[in-house]
Amino acid sequence: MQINTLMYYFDHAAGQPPNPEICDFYRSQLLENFANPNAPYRMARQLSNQLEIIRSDIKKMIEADEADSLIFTSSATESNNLLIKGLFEKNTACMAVSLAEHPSLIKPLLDWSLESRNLKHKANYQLDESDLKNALDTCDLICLSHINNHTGILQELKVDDVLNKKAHIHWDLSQSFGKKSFSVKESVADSATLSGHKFGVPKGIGVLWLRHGITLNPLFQGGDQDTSMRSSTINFPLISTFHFAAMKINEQLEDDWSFFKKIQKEMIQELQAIQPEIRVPFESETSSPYITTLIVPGPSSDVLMRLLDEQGVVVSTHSACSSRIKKENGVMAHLGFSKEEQQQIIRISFSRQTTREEVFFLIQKWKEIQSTLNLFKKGYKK
Amino acid sequence: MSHHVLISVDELWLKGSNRPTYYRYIHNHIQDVLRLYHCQKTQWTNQTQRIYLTSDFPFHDETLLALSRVPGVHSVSKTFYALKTIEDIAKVAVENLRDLKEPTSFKVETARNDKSFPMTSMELSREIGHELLERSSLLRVDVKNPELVIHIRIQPEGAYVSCGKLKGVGGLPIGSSGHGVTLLSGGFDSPVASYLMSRRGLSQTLVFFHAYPFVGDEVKIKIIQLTKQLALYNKKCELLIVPFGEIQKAIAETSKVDYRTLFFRRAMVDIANLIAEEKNAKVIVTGDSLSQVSSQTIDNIASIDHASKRSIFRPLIGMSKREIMSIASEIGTHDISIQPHDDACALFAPENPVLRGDSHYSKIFFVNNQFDQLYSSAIKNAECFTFNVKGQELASK
Repeated sequence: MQINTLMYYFDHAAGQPPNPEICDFYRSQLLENFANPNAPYRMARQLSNQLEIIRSDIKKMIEADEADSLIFTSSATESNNLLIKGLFEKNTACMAVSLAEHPSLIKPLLDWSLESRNLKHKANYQLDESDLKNALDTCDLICLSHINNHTGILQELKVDDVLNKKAHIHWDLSQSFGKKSFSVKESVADSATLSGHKFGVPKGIGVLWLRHGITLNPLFQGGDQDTSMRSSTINFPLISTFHFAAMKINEQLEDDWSFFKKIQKEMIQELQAIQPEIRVPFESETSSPYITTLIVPGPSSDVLMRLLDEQGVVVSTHSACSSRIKKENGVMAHLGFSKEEQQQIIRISFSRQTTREEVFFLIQKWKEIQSTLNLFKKGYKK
Repeated sequence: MSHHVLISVDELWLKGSNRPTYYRYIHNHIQDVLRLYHCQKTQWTNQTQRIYLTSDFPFHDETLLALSRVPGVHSVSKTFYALKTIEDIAKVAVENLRDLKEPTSFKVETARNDKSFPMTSMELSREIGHELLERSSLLRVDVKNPELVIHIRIQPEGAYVSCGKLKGVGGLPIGSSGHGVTLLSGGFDSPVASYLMSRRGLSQTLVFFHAYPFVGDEVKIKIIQLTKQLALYNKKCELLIVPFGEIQKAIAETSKVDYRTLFFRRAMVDIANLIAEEKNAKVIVTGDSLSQVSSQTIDNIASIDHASKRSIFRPLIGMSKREIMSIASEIGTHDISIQPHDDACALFAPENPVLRGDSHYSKIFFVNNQFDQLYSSAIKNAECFTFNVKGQELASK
């Protein structure tokens, strides 16, 4: 999305530029619906009723049952923490997750579990089915993400693959909600996390869907506002905005997926025409078209990132810090990439509003910075 | 009650007729320190190499430490007034040793500025020493190598007793040797070089060349931390962060690969000379040490010198890395410098940088390629920071 005439933004996987319509809606909600939905008077009761309709609508989007719980949290990180720490007592359960996942899945899991198990990957970076099956039979909790935020790899699980299972399956849908359809029934989900700001909602709202019959020990104790599983005054304006944005997710998810797959492939082709040494380890027919991770041999990728930044193009390197102070990239290390490769990562991510023209601009600027990048190629003689 | 501090001044006595000027420099610096650390009214009394400060409010340890960092100061000690009697002098001394927790060896030194006092200095020292031994079980006498020196000064109006002193950095007062432009990097060397020149009385404008976008902005945080630390030893510390990325790019695009590092150095010195012109600085200071890195070989240093209009002082030229690190620890820059930071020179550096530059090629290159525009643009776009003696940033105008 072009934020203004000077900036071309390609880090949607990290944060979305604001949508004016959603912002306007949010503002109106802030001004009108400020009451506390748990209060006894009419204006509050109305909000409380609306809230139940909102929950129902969102459950429908993921094909959940009406009886299921839908808890509103402050973020996907909170949702993940609530599930992982709320399902079992500390140090009692065996939990499994791939170390290529988001830290908000990994850290609470390692902390809370009695025993943790690292899920294995195949050569194409999807999870190894037999290892996964085994984990489903032996562990108490498994955490999966539908689309990985670093690699864009799409991970799916079908009902037919999972006949009997012991484990509770928790899905993180942060990168996929609004881009790829997900059915909790078809994916054998017991719980799922949604992230508001990853599909255009202002920051500060997440969702935890929980299959009926499951209860959690809360992270926050207090007024039991969102059932006893999550206390805190209900953030009606932001929840309502989440709902507003969710309802705007049209039916064309698959069409857009195909369309952006084409754009992604074209972009990769163009980039490799400019720099044949660029590698794209995760792109495949099933990977997300919205996330493209490149390995660009050469100086630390933050140099390239800054050169593009100067030209008005914003891409990510996965890390806030620059080369020598960069911490090791845990996800990439786990997937078998060397320290050198970890320093050479560029991630380009789209939203469903990204246009061909913007990608064209990216390619142009990539071409233009080549003369500067060539200064760093060792052995270059003038 | 009155509180006193005795500041003993270094080397000033060497200067004879220059003394009043030097005195003015150190007076101003101490005033700045007092204004920020001890903002109560303070009286000054000057005597040959001593400055006495008197205040109605106690001087904090922080203030004494800050005073000891003023170049030109030999030592700083808290001093207490006593009547000119053995009884009172001993009483005051013991009172100020009450925080003593461990057995300590001591000796007493007396200086008399009141010849009418009945005892000789030695006699008084002996008497007081004796009194102190009686009153404190932790003390024992050691005239050869005492841990604590109790100093008594007999003035016409009374006796001044100091128990121990804080060693000052010494040297000459800031400004008394002129002004210089110092090239600062994030490494260990240049901050130490700057400190050593502060100690010789040189006030400085610090210049850092920022290689954005080839390095990130994080290095600026480190440079500012270093400057704040150096500011503690200076009267006022000015830092210029000069954008250098464009210039590096221009040089890298046109020069032979193995000459890049040397030419970057040359460009830095060129810009330093331009800044020195503006700042009325007659000298440039760098942290070069002989042959530590490629740009510091004799030939390469010589070629930079030939090109520089002003003398380049290299206080570390004869020092070893260990000596440099040791000073860095002393002045508090070691732990800041040790944090890793991006090095653009490493990014541009060829596998084999030239050790003995072809002086002809070096000369021709800078004749054929005019960087004046880039230089003046870089200086114009420099960020400027000023810090006071506490290391606090002053608002820019």
